[in-house]
Amino acid sequence: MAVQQKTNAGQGLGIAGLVLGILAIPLGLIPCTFIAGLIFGAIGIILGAVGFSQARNANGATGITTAALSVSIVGFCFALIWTMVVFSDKAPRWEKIRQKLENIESRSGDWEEDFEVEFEKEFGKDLEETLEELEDDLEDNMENIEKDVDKALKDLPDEEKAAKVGRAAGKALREFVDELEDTTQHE
Amino acid sequence: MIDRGRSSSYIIVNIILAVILLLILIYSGLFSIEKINHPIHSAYSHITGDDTVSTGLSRAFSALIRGKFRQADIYNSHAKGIFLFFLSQLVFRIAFSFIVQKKPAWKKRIIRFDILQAVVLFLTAFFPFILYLKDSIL
Repeated sequence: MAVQQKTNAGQGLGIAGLVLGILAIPLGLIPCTFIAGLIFGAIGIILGAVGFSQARNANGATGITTAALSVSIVGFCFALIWTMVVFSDKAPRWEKIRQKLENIESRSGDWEEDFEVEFEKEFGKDLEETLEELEDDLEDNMENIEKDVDKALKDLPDEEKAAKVGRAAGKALREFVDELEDTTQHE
Repeated sequence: MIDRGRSSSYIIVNIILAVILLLILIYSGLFSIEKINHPIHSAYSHITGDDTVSTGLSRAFSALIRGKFRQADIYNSHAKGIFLFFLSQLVFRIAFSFIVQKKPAWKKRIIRFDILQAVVLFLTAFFPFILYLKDSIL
């Protein structure tokens, strides 16, 4: 009985799949590069599967395509786990924010009353009245700032105006975010 | 006939991986530690806003390639092990390709040893990452 010789069918795809699969494992395991691991793993699986079917149909060696499929699946799984961790509510930052909101929610009733009493003790003023005064002051200040800004931008061309306003808005937003972060850290 | 095909596949895979490992080293060497100008950013930190076990790995690699071991430790304490793993794999890819070409009869034994050493060294170097992944799930 003649021994049928194996062909090279699917070998090229197998090699490509194996390389992508080998790369997908460390990339999938490193949290910073899990997206690359996901992509490499997925492409490795596709190439490995196509190579495997080509090899089987044309009596080719299936060793390399099987290896490609195996390592790509492992790499893809690591990356998939990271994807689920990052996008689920177990992501550390979202978990912290959720816990803080829960804490604030659970004690908001007592907290408001306590704060009003403490405020009156500390400053000798009613909280609501003080807030109204502050609101009036803020409105006056905002009007003054608008006037100053109009005066400052009056003689500038449109592009420069847009750039200055953009930079100022960015700075204000950054300051706001920093303050917000400080406030939540003190919680 | 089949053997030669398998050997050539093994050598091709080794050459491609060696080139990729070299590119990783070149990438680390090209970008500066001080300027933090590495073009590939952390997907994890971008999404969650938090640091992770692999934060600072690119900077640590850049420091290691310049021989600044202490600085590398500051950026990422696991970087040394991973860098050593990549470096060892680069040496093994070149060495094993060379040996298989010179001594085709040793091919099977070399491939088995290669798989074993790669798995053991990988698990050793990436153990903190595996633990971190486990902790993140549980």
